[in-house]
Amino acid sequence: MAEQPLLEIKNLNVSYRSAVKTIRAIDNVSLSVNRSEIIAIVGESGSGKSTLGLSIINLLQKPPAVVDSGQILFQGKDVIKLPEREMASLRGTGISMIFQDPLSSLDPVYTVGWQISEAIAMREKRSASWKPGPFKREDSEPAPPSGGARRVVGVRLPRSRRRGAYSEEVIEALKRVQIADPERVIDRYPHELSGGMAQRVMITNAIVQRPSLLIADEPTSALDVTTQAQVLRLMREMRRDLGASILLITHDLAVAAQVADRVVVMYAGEVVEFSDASRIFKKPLHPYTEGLLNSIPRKYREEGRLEAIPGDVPDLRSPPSGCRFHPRCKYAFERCAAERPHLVEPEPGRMAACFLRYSS
Amino acid sequence: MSERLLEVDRLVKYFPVHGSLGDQIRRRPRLNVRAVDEVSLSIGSNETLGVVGESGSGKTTLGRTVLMLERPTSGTITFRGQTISSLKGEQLRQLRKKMQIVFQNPYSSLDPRARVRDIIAEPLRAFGAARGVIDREVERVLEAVNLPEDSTLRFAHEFSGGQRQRIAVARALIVSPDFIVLDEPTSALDSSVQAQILNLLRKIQDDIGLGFMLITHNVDVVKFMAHRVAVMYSGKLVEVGNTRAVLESPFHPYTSLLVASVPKPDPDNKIGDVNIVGEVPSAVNPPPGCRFNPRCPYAQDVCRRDEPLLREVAPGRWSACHFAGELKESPTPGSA
Repeated sequence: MAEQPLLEIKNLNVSYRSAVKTIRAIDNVSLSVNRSEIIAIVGESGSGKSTLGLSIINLLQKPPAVVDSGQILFQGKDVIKLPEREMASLRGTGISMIFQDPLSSLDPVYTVGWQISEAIAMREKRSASWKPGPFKREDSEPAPPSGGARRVVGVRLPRSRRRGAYSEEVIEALKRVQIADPERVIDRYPHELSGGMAQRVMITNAIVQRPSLLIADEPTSALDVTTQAQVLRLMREMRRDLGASILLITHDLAVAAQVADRVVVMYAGEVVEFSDASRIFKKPLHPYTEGLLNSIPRKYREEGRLEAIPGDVPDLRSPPSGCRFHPRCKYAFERCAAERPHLVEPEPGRMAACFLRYSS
Repeated sequence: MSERLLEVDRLVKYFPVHGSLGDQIRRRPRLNVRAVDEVSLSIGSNETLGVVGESGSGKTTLGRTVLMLERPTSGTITFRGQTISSLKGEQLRQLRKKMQIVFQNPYSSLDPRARVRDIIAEPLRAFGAARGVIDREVERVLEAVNLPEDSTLRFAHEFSGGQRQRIAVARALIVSPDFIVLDEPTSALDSSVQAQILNLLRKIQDDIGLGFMLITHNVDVVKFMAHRVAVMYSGKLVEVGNTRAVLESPFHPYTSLLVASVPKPDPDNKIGDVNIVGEVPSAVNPPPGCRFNPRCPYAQDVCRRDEPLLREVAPGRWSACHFAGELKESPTPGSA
């Protein structure tokens, strides 16, 4: 490929260590994300999908996490080796991340407008033409406006102080994520928002910084299905309008199908399948992907039972030998228990780690 | 048609909102969260009724009130011909042999310090069963939920999420109930395990015959599990009917929106522009008229003025929409 991918992960290994045990959370994972591409990482609990997201933005808690080996190249630079100072300036404008629970990621004592203004100010500061504007939180930090105090005493702080600067751009951005009545929402505190609104504020926070890569870790799992549909649409628009790449981390194959160009399926810390979205849902190459698809209740009651994957997600403290999926796999044969399959390319552009896909 | 097991008539459950001190001094009227507002439904003795709705729709409160875990504000609940909504004390306690519940989160609904045998046997012990009976029954329900016999002496934390939910189901089954409320039974489980539990619940129903009220936000789960579905919105039932009929040709615009919003694992079948803004309204101060009217693409003046009643639009199909049956095509472009 002529164009360099935006993000390239090469042979990444991450483990969590305690005095007694080491858990290999990410096992030799390689993948690349192109510009303006949406990639979904699908996996169940313990698959390592969230650890992967945190590794990319370099927010793993170390210890207990340790990056054992591998490279994460973002625009050619290895973020693992990047000094924290440079990493900090990359976060937000280069790589941005949103999480499952928006309320724990928003600062409870600042209004929505204030927090988004801060994000815009960070962006402006980093651009070459930045001049000190009206927003100067670092130099002279005004007392945080407290919602409680405002109510009890009945004194309303001046609008300019509660909103921060850039209120026009903030309102514009809130409109773009389909928040009704942005002029009022801008003055609200996070606890006054519903879950769907808070998640859209988080997304606004990420969008205004115009990141080249957005990592979205289960962005819709805490939301109702009608709100989820809106947020998924928002992700597609964000790619279309801003040209951002999105790494969507989810446990839900159906969510992945709605937005992703390519899908990465992880199981017990490994990538077991990597394929474009148009083919993986029609004909999965790995038995685990096939099992996951069959587990989605798509039929009516009278149409019979589901073909469930037997057993449970493996305990990473003592992973099974050979292929990690073999104890649950209906196609497993002797070799699967003895040897670990590596990723092969049975069809152009599609990878799977399964002996069934090895060409003889 | 199976015989009626449970009947609920105009059930209401309000929770008072404690206003500020200032509100109390000024004697402002007490406000209520109208969690369940005039809900009527029935469940057959070998039937699964799916109750589907979004967060805040009142579906969990409905399930708890039906079991008399919450005392209804008004309305009646009839279980096998007996009015249970007025029962108290010992009579109510005896009722628990016949009605059970399985909660969403098996990580918090099982006592971490008790052995599996004690967790499962507790309902029986509460009714003073003899030791021999308990042993026999524990063995029976363990088999019914496919847990190995040697699990009885282990603790709940030694089990995975799916196995814990099996333990919770076993505990509900041990008193041989006629009716179980399943409150989001698979929402805390991994997707590969969810299918096992759903299959298991259906097998149990086929084998021993009992009524389920399945409460969930997941339309796919309802589709696979329920004979009939009841759709809740902001404390109200908006649509009730045969599952396939409701999901394939909804009468209420909210049901259409809900069904159209469900993502499908098929990149060629994307959710269209579900172009509905807004959120579930506050249950303290719901909009006048139809509670869905601020979000409804078809809202007319009558929808903002008069509250629609749940009425039988077609045989076995109930809808609380002024225009039920008149809005032919699905109102959201997503279903195309």
